[in-house]
Amino acid sequence: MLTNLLKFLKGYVVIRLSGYSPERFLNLCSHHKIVLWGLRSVGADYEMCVSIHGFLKLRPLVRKTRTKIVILERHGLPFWLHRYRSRKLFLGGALLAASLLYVLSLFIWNIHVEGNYSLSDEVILDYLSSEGILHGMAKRDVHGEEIEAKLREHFQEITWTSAEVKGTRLIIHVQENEDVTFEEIPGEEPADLVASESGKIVSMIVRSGTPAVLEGMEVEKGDLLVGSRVEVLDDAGEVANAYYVHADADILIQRSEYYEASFPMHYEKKIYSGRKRTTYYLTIGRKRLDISLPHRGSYEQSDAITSEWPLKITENFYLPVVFGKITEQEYTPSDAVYTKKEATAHAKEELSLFLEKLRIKGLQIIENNVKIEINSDKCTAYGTYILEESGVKEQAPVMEIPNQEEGTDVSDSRRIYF
Amino acid sequence: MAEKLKLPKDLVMGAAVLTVTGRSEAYVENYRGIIEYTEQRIRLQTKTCQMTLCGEGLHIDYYTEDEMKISGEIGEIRYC
Repeated sequence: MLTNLLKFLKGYVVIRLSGYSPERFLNLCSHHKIVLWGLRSVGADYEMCVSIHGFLKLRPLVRKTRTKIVILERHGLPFWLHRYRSRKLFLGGALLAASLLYVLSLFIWNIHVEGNYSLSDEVILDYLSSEGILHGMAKRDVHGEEIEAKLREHFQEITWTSAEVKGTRLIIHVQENEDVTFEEIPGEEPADLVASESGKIVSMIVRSGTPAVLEGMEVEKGDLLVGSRVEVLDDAGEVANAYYVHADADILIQRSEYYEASFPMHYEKKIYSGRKRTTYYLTIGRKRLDISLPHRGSYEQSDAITSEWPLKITENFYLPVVFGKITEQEYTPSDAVYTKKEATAHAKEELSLFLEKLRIKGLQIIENNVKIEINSDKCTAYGTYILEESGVKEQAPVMEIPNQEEGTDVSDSRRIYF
Repeated sequence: MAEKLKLPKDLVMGAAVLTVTGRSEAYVENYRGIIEYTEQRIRLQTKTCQMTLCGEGLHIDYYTEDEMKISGEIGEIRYC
């Protein structure tokens, strides 16, 4: 294999030897250390392979032995290069393409964020770009650990990150802490839990701290629910000592809210004429370029739907070029009145949209007593609905000042002994 | 003398070394030159005598100053 490769690189010829004493020629060759291989006798003649280097030394031997040699075939790289010498540009292009590919592979062309749940890709990418992590940056400037540390530091929600360079992609794996919403006081420091809304407590799971209320109790906004002070009682039932913890509990508070919404029965109805027109445009940077021919005439009233497709090379690498399409539909406005059925449906739809929004916020709707009332010019929906929500808020506790220094561990801020 | 000194005979006496694998391959070392080469017969000169390989379709795969490889159907090996 290796010898074949060497033969190819150096180049060799197949020659035919004929004449008076070919054997003498062969002996002379071996004496002059000219390597011959693939020796075959063809009738009275011989055919053999000899390297270009060896072939150039054959002339005196040929004269001496009065033989004749004819080149039959040429093999190897030197001949190949010679044959394609007129295609230098093609070779140059191939080399250029290869080097371009190599140079392009030195940059990051795609940043992909994985595992993010509450933080959007844009937020993370925006932050990364402010830190100089951009599409098109050199791969050697990516320092995974640095990126990881920065992300963890900047986003409280992120508990674990990993930056990985795979080919020309930078993949950022993120693990988020899901219940980060009431992390107002760092987890180490003592904290009370107070009610964030007024209402009735329907369920209560306390993980740490001393509960101050019971299930079923009515509480006002700001009332203490779980205290941070934990007391240790001695045999006589008196407080031996006490310490403060970071209270932690899941508490559901039920409350009722009032809903009211109304809309007029008269409205403007669009009657579409069926005439449509579409315009295409291109935005490059801040300049907008219309591609379509200008339309003749104009619509008095029309709806316009604009769709835009930003050009991007990879998943998140947007180019400053946007392709857009505007579809206009002509209509004539006319006054219309809702029928009772339509109005009810419309009001119900509004209400369910409103409740859906609450649900997305994490509130649970237990009951809804909203009524719909229609009179000649207005449709009103009103009533109460009952909802449950996690109603706790952290608050720094009011701590009693320790009156004696005995046995107080100053370095331990969590525990204060009395 | 070579035996007493335990030296290889091919070095001291310049004897040819012939290694035959089956009847299709032969290596010859320590030869002087080729006297005759056809498909039926290859005659080699060594220091002390001539060596003749007869057969069918004999073919020299490669040869250098002191080694050669012969392939083909070897029928007879003769020294004279």
